Amino acid sequence: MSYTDVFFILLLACLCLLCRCLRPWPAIREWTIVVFSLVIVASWGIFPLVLLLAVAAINFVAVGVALSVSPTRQRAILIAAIAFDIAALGFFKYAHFIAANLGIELGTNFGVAALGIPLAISFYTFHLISYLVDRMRRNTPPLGLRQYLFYLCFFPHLIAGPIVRTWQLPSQLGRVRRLRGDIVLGVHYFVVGFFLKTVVAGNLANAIDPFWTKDTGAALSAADHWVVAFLYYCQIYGDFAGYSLMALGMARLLGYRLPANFRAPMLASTMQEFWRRWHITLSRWLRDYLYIPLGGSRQGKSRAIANILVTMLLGGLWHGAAWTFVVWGAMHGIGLAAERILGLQRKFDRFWQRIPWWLCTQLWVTVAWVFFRSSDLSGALDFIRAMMRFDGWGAFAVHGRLILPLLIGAGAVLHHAAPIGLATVPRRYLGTCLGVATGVLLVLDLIVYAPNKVFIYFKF
Amino acid sequence: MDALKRGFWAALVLAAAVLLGPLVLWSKLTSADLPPKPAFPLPGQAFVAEYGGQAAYVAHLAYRWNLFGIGAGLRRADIILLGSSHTQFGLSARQMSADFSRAAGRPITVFNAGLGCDTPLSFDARLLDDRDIRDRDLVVDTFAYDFDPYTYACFSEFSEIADPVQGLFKALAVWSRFDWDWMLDGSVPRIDLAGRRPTVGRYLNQPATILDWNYGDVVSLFSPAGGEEFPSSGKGKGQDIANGPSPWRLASGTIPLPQRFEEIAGPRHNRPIFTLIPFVLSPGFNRDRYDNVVRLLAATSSRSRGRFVALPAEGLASFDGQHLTGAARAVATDRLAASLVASGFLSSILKQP
Repeated sequence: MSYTDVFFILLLACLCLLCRCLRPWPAIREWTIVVFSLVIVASWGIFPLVLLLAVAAINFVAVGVALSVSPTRQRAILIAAIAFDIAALGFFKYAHFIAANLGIELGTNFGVAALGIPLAISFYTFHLISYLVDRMRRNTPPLGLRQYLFYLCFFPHLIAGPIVRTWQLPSQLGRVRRLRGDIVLGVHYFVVGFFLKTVVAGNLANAIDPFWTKDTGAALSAADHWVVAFLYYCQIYGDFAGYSLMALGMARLLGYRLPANFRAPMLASTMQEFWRRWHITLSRWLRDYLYIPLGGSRQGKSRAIANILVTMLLGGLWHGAAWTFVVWGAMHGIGLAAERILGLQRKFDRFWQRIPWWLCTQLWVTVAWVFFRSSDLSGALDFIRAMMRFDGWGAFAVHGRLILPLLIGAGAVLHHAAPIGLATVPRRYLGTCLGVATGVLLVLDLIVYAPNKVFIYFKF
Repeated sequence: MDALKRGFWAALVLAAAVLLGPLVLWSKLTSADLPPKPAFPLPGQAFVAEYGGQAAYVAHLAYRWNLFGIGAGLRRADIILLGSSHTQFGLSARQMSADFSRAAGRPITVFNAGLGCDTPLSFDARLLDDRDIRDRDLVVDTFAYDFDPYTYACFSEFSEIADPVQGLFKALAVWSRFDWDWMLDGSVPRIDLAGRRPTVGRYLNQPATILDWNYGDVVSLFSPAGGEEFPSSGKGKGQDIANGPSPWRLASGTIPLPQRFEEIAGPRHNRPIFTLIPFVLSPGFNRDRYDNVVRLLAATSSRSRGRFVALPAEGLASFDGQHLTGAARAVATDRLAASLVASGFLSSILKQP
């Protein structure tokens, strides 16, 4: 069941009302939300639910057992649990990819069928690892069953993030909270997120998907290819930032707060800044559980660069078992490494100093999206070749069919300006201003037809 | 937080009302020119089997897992009609039930299990197996399976739905989407951003197929622009099948069914009877070719211990080149029922007390 389905929205409204009635009894409310979350997983199939519960149970038992043994054995148990989680993820997500590539190298066929990625496995594996590592470092107390299941299965973040940490969500549990202010922001976030996902990303996907096929793409100019790549940037922003905002909104409507996942990534002037604005919770997770344990920047520049490359390669591979994702991760790693070599991490003193670096960063990110979107490497390389093909003035012509998608994509671009615009609004008019924006977008959500497209990150 | 709350709700309602008001007014003024929306499918009487091209498989879900008891009709039917959308649109199980009940002097139930969506034969086999359907008469339209498969990929989407819970939520999602759009149709317009420029149209903006809850017949085929296309049609009498202009695409060399179907019907002691519902595929119908195909089907059926009943094309019309019109469905159903009674193939069921 997609979060943009009418049926889901009806269920969500019922859940919000029920949770409001259950406000004085936080434990019952939290169990209700856990059950609702499990039903949402079941709506995508019984198997993903069984797998989630099995993996969750094994991890919960592992932490429980680790509590009652000596520190050395405790560490061994938690490391074994982490290895199990990675193995489960690897089995479902990468076994086919590894076997296929090894088979090509060795000239044999291992006969490993693609199992299909169980819903949300990439995200809940990260949640589990985060909990286990934090337990190992003694950064978090052991969670009770209710807290643990809530942390892991809370439906707004379960399927596609934001990736939450144990100090962020469980600390909000077991309390009677005031909801009134949360409802205002909850409605606002949900309506804006729904707009970005359905109106912007759904319609953009509908418009530009055909251009990614070889046959249709061949008829396009170089400028068209750039426009299509940029529109995909808008699409994936609308899709994922929209989903993340909906998640924040749903959580707020139920009285909980999730960390923000996006902060105007198209304004980033460096790759480092980009990752502080794009999928923020993933980049923080990779920093805390991969980059820093690898040594971070503590062991010299060359080691730091190697750590960045490894982190980003694995980050790319986390998105999907395909070479296109590896290249996408590598491109981001190279970008970050180049900045470190050039010493571009300092802040820019003046606005105009940012412009060339902003342009370079955004162009690099846009080209990297081509790999992310393409179904294979040769398709991506063909697309990039076509972007670079300048054969006379015709190369600058933009196809008429891309004009309307550009206007739709403007929705995603304008969303970047929203925080800047809101910062200029006097505080006493802030509510009115948000109310008008929410009202307008609510009507657009209602009247603009959105093709039924699954969230891109649901696949990961 | 207080600053946020201040004026938020009033501003939201006001902004939405200011924007929506003229749209509602415009919609009310223009909705009179639109063809009427279909009657609301009341649970227990009818259900939406398809709303929008991406969700054409609700009937598959319902029959496979007996969702809301929709598949129960299939389980208790004495005679089951199997095939593609040609069967779904081309025959009426409700009418046939009445015809056979009259002939037998006791209630005989027929269920129309025709399924579109490029459904392969293996799905019907699975359906019979899962629903434990045995010792029945199965009337099978031979067009269904291997003739000229068209590239409609919806079955592959359906086949990803692996269990009844997932199926239930999928069906509920399609139904709630239809119900929501049905409710707002005529009150609010819809802007479609597909194509080169935005278009404003009706809220119920996707084609919908509504089936009979108890018999599986098509109750209504709705298109946003044309209104109801089946069983009543705004396009007049439809295309005359028997006098179509040029050769039929159906090739005599691709008659696949009886032997394969025997494989699934035999083990459960079901008794298949084959037929061929006439249809037009561009560039049209050819009488000689049709007769030739019918002869071949009859011969193949008898060789594989199957039984074949021809369904003459005279007087039948199609509304879209593929499927019979509502009026033609009534004629084809009567014709087939009469042929089945006359052939004696149903004697075991018609004579039982």
